[in-house]
Amino acid sequence: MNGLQPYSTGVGLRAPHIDQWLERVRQGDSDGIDWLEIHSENFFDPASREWACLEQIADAYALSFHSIGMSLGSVDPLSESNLAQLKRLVDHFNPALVSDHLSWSSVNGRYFNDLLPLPYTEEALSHFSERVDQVQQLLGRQILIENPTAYMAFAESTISEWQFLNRLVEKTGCGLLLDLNNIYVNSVNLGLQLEPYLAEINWSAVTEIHLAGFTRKQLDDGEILIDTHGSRVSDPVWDLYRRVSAHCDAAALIEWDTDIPELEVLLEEAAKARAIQPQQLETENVARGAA
Amino acid sequence: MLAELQQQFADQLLAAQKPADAAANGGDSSPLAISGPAPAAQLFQLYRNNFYVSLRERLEAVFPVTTALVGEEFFAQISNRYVREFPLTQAPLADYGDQYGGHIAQLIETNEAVASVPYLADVARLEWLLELAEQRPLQPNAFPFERLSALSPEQQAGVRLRLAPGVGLLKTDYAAAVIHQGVTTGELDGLDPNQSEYLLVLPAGTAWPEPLPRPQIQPLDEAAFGLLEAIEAGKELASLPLQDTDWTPALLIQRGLISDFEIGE
Repeated sequence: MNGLQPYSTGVGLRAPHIDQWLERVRQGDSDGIDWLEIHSENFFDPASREWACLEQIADAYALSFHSIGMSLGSVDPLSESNLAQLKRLVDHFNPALVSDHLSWSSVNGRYFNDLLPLPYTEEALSHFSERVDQVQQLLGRQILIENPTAYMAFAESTISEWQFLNRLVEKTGCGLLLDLNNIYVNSVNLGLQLEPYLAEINWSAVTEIHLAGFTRKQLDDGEILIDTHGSRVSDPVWDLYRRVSAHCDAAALIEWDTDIPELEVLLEEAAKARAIQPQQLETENVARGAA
Repeated sequence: MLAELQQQFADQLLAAQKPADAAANGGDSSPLAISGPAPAAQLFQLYRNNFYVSLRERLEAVFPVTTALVGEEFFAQISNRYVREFPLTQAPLADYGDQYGGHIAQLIETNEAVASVPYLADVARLEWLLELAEQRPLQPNAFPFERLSALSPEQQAGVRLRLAPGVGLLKTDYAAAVIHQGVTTGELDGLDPNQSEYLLVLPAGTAWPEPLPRPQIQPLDEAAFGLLEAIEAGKELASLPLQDTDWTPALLIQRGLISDFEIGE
């Protein structure tokens, strides 16, 4: 399967909830969740319990495979081992979407277990495009690239993030995964301009949207928002989603990675996203009209 | 330019510098021209923390008993050094921590505080084997009986059996399993750490005789351990040391501990 249904809603499949998802699969209980997203690297081993569980879950839910380890922006060669394991996983499950980030993670073969920021230069664009091409050719399918959170901006950047992403789409045919929390966090931390971003980003390429929470951290010289994915989606990000979903029907994900709460909290957040989507509003209006 | 920028960024992540030191040095020792919501030194410290904390959390999750034995603060010190000296060489974290026991063994030689807990390295090695067993539950009916029965008796005598991926062996001069159990249950009184052990770590799914629901540590006698050690070392079937133990290759296959074989040269 390729692509997800317009205005469909998913949540991240995380280790503490796996048994509950298996139970939901057995009971046929979807709670309005259309699809689940995994971190691909956690499911690489075909002999693992995770892989076996995913076999069962894949029978009931569409899947999105979100990578955090391709290190597409690194000047290091792409890891053949990582790509081979990703290909094995993708070939086996044929998920609706495959994605990774506009970032880099390794130098000289040493990984920093983080999504590190790139300068937005012609050189970086050319390099990143080549790598996306390589991965798409290897996997034999389109991948999505997610806009990252960054806590610093490089003086040598010559183009904006949305220009970088739009040109990446033109050069490689990749899709975009737009994380609205990342856009908001960068707007507060780095002064990223929201209006031109939302006006100029290539919406026809946006296939998935991430909704997540941030936390505030006090530094010696001020405050910074940290993209922790450890709390409910903030009001400003819901406002952004309201604006975006009025014209963009991309599938939306509730993403939660730290201090993972009860599954019900994620389901509540997903219900909140659904309630914002115009399709849902229309359905409610029709229902009200009929009553 | 991009290569240079990434190298300089990595140098910042691996630097021991803290914001206070950076301030004393004029605020920013980075050659990178950056802007952000705080001075460069604080922003790099933020990334540095993410790097160290995320890998320390991985190690704490894999080595909870080791952490309990030395306390969280000291474990963090040992782990910071591990993060510096043992780079993460691939994006998935599944293999990260595989050399932690060796890292502690080296510290026992050189660090007085670690030397006071000489069993710590083997407890960590045991926890790593439990992690591998957790990651790799036994696959039911994995052993290729048909392929084995197609061989001639001479060929069968020369096969090298292979332990299932989640099965682990540890020979220790200390009571690593007893200590592990004691920390887990909170019953450490009267424990003698200086008792050697031969240990087998069983993944979930091992027929013992019912399938184990989770990994388990099984103490062995020397002869049974010797047999498993010989299998792990790749000795041919005909030369396995079977004389002093009731354990046999057939029993190990039946329990799922042997999952495959290779035909000898």
